[in-house]
Amino acid sequence: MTEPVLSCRGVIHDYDETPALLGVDLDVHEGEVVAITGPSGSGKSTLLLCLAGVIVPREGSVLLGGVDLRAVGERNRAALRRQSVGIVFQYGTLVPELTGEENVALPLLLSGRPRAEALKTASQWLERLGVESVARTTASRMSGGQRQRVALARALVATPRVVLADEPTGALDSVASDLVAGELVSAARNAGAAVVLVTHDARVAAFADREVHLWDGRVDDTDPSIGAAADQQVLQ
Amino acid sequence: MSATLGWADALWLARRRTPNDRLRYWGSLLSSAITAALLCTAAGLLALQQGSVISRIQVVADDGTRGGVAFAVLLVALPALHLTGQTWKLGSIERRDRMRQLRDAGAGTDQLRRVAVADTVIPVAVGATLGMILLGLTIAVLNMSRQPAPGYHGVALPAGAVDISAAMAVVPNVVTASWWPPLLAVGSVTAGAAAAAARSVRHLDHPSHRRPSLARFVAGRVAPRTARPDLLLALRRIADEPRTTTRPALLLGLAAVVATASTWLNRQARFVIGEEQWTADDYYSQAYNLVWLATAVGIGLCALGLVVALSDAVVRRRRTDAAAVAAGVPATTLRRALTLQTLLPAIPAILLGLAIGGATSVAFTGRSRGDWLGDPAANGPLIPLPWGLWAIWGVALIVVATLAALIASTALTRTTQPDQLRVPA
Repeated sequence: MTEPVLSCRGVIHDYDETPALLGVDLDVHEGEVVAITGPSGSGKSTLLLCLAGVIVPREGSVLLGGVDLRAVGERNRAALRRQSVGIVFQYGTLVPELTGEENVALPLLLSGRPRAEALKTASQWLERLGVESVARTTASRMSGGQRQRVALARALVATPRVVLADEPTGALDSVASDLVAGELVSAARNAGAAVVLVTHDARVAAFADREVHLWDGRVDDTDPSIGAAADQQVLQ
Repeated sequence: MSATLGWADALWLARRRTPNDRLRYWGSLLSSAITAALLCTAAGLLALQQGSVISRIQVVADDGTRGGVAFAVLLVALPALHLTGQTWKLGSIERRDRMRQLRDAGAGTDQLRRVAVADTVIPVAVGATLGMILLGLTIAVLNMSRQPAPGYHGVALPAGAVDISAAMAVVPNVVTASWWPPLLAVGSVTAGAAAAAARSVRHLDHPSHRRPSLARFVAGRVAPRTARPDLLLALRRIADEPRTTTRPALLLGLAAVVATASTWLNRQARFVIGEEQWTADDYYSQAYNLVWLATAVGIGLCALGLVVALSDAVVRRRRTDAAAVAAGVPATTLRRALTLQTLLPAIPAILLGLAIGGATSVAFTGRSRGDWLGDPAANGPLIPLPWGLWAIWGVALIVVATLAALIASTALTRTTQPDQLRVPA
């Protein structure tokens, strides 16, 4: 079996002594789509930020492309994120003053690509995701769905090895959710990137190859029927 | 909600204990105290009866020049007003959301105005009154001794020494000249704040109209041509919110005008009068030193206003900045963007101010001794222009703007933390 592109072992983290993760192991292989599900407060987003190297866990290891993220400083982790990781957050969180094209081109500009080349690549990605109409529109004036797709383009423009998405459809209606989730998975697959998708929505989790269910900071693999669908049934 | 909302109810609805509100209350209190004290001093100088003032500061004692001193104090009040406005804007987004929630609960526009005014007026009125009390305390202390404040002998400035104690000795005369200056100061600051608060209720659902401005135009044209991420961010932010940095830039430009003009006039006067008489009669040196002291105070207030405006902008952008850092944008890029956002309007304004101040003052007095004396027979060699001093002023103003940006950028350490990803939009 090939080496995982992203893996973590024994990850433990807390916020001011409030436990968030209590020992999580996870492997993500190239091209794989993994959904991390669980109720609110189960540690999903914390795990995602640990996998991205945004948070350094208190204990455990996180390997991105074989590099132990705990062993490198913040500057190197940021560089790794730019090169190997694409991140999508719940509200898109684009830079509101930049246009759609500029937001997508930002990772390329940061890597030193010439402006014309960066904008051309950005424009191609916007077209691929069906939002070329907002290329010259500032992010503050886009709809939620447009913002998410532009954020997705930004996550994919630098051809990352893995895309991490934290509730990417959380702020969207069901139609837009299906659209964005579907585009996220297919675009990432076409680009050869693995996807780790945090969601509490069973319909979104259904796009994944595999589901990992978190409960109280741990992976809950005791009952295969437990998952996002079961969570939603309980809530109903 | 009842059709008529009492002030007590309005105050109850306005009261909050969030950190932003506390910061805003204290900031408003302090800045309105400073503004009111300056306005009261200017008004008091104008209210003084002719021939009534005995002061070691001759430009204040002289009836013919006192108006100019009042004008100078009013100029210093401009950055103080700007600072008051900036502190009032802290947490404006949360306040707007709060107003929208009240409106959705059934509040009418007049009721919302009452809440907004109740929220704003109290710290401003308290601060302005506090400014008057502090001036009054100064009077009491100085009247007890009937002497200028002892002990402190001055601050060395490039062109001479300022006797701070002599300057303070004029305060009792100024503030007790008449009953109306303190009332005018407190009333105008409070009324201005109330009017601004009432007006703010108009823009709850949409940002205020994006007026055209030179900064917005230039930044919007240059941004599409830059490949540097920090410069791109800075230019787009200037185009999006030009007032954040252009207003302080204009105030720094004004300081540059005053500084260069007074530097030239000082040089002219020293040359014409001669060093011996200049030292013997301190009329001119006192005047110029007071101008530079006032300029330094004005620059300090302007820098403070800039720090408040930039820090507020950093806090408002915290979620997008945290997401940018999480996505791999270096924090140093964001810091540089903030510094560029400050300096790109400031440097042209300062350079323009230096040019205007220098050109107008030289044109006014002429370059030779004869020009100043009005006696062509006294023409002699041209007085050398003080390029070095002007350059020092320019560099000092740019350094002040840079320091303000660096101080504000320290907020980025906090606002780019991962927990900021979860703050509401």
